Amino acid sequence: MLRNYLLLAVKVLARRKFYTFISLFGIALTLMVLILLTSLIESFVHPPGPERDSERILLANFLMLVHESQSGGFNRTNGALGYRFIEDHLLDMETPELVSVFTDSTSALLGMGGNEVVGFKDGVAVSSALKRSDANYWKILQFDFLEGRPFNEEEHRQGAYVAVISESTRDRYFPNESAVGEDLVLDGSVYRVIGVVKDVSALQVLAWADIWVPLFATPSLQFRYEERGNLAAMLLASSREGITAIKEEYQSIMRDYRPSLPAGWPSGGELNAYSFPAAKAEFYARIIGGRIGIEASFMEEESTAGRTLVAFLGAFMLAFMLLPVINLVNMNISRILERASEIGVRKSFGASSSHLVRQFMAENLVVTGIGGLLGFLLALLSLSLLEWSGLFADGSLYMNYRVFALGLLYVLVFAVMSGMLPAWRMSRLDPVRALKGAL
Amino acid sequence: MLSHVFKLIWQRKGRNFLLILEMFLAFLVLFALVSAGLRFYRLYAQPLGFEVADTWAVLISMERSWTEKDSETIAQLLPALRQLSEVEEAHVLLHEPFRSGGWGTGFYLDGRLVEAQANRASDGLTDALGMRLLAGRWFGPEDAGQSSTPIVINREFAERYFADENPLGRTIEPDRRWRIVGIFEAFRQYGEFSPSQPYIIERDDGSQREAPSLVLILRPGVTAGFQEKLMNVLQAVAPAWNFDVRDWAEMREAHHRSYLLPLLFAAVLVAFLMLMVGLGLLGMLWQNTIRRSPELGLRRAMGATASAVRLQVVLELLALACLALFLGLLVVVQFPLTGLIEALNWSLFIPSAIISAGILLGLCVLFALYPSFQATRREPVEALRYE
Repeated sequence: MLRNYLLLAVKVLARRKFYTFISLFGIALTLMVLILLTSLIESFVHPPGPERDSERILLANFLMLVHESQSGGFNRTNGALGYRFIEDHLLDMETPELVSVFTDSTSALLGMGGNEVVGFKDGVAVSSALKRSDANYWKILQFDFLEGRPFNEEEHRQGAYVAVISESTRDRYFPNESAVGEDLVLDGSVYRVIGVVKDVSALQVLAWADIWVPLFATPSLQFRYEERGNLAAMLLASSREGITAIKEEYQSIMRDYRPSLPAGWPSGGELNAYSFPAAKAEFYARIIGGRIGIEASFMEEESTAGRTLVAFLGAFMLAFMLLPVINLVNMNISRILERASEIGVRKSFGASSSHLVRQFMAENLVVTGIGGLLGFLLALLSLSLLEWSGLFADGSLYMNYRVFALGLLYVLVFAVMSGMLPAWRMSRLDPVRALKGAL
Repeated sequence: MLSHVFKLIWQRKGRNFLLILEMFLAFLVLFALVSAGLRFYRLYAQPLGFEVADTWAVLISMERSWTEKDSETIAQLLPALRQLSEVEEAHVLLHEPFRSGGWGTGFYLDGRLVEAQANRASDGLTDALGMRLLAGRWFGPEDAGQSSTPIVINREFAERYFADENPLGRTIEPDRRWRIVGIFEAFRQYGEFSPSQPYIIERDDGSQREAPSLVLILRPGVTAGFQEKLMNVLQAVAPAWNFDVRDWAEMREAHHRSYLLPLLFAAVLVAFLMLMVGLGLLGMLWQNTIRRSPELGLRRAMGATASAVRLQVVLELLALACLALFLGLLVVVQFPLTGLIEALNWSLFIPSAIISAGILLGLCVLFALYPSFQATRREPVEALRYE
């Protein structure tokens, strides 16, 4: 029986070639868009590589000082955290499982450059992105080590001149050989390479760098006394529920925090400090918001502008996802409606509703199966095109088993449902009307 | 004709609901993309205010706080740099353009709160960057030793806060005693895609309070290879500092990329979405016209011309699209009405709405053409009998 259904489905498809082409191509295109969107969301929600625990990670990366003088004027500066602030207030926080301090490279995401170090290979200057961090950094982020190991607490404390480098950095400095144990001269200092990790996508702002060295591996440790500097802190919650507790503890810290007046600002008046930890997604939302003109204030964690922004982006994403789904439903309905008279014939010869529904289910599986396959091929093609264009370097957009499974689920659920419903409705119609193709 | 079209639509409202929903969502997505694109284009079209060619930034960082001695080091560094044959001019600038961070300031002026971005530059930098002076003069060595600090303000500042008086010579900001000596066109620190805002440039008198950065204007034809020589000079004069050398043109390009690539990605995705919607409409219309062959045949038999029937098919879809557009406009008009997004005001809303509505209607016409021909391909007699 099933064989008959499938044969029939193929025959029907071959009958109107152009219509079949349009409908298959439409389904394929729809699925491609759905898969692309899924993989975009997937690589954000469940990023591959080091930031795979990002839903438990909070990032504190700004400290804003606002001074109001008696005349009513104000001065304002917004920058990254300094080591003293982190050491005095954040490192011994109770709610996070782990706290890590590292040099902030979030400005790199804005296309505004990060911390660069220059080394020389055969007399040619090689510029690399440098990140300084403590030992906890390697516990919170899950790097894939190709060789060697990360630096430990002791090396961090002592400021050992050791470095972890990325795969492409190794290939640049030490082509075709193992790098562990080699010396690397960066800005005049000699570092010993102790580990090599897989390359990280620049979209993963917390993890991204070419070279990682201990925070204290620097000639001058004066930065330990700065309250504002170029550092950020990562706070790892033990579970997703722990996030709220961390935010609350952070706010109570800020309530007690008394900043010192920046040099050159008038004395007197009132000086206030603002800072709060946020998930990476919120950080991205702020960037997008700033660009489209919704400036979420850095002075309050829960601002109306922030809520507007989240609602706005959420609605937009929903519209984006819903569109292909509705399109798929529409196309399938019109495809089934086209078979109305055939349903009438089958019904008048005594086919039961369940028979008809089964037939159309089988047929739908064939059509959407072919369309889905084409869609996957198109999605793979466009993903590799995107990668090739350099837009999303280092495989940050990718297709894994989860995207594949989700894509398959879309294909089945929407296609079968959208095809079956009208078929079922039609199978319950009066055969005479169905014969005339009316619905 | 129109009432006929709307009657037909109403009779198939169940089926048409999904179509309208689809076009409604398509309009929302189009509108978001078009308004973002239009906003960035308009911002880009405004003058940047300065030249970026053959200009390098030298970023200074140090692992301790800035002291007076460091200002002396700057004073030694500048002549050493000017002596290099590759360097035409060397200057001090507190905040380099195309980077995050900056100095926001606010004060009361005649009872009104003034908010502005501020920066600090050494004498002559403004001219060297090709900035355009509109009124007054740039600050210069003649301003040294005075009790007030000379500043120049941009056109936006003058227009917003000094609508009908001459700002030149005014002393503002009680804590700093700023005296306005000139008005310039623009200095858009955060690049072409940022909205223009009131801007103040203060004269750098050689006593910095925090680490500034340096701006080098190079002679034309100097290549990136000069960087190593430059580093040696910098480190010889100030061995304790960390330097980072950037090309302004490259910083600007990276800045552009960070804005345009996401937009391009979104545009490609939306193009695919629209193609997808178009094909969906095509398939639906096709099936629809075939099923309605008898009805359309009847119209032909009653004397309607083939083109009138074609027009009917297209008009029916357009009428649906208009309903969807109406709903979509009802939603998006809330932005300028409530001022939810400040940038999405009427002057941006109206052209964006027109363009995105035009794209959607164009799409409908384009993909309704083939089914409309399909509808009149059969002879009326044959169509009447078709089942």
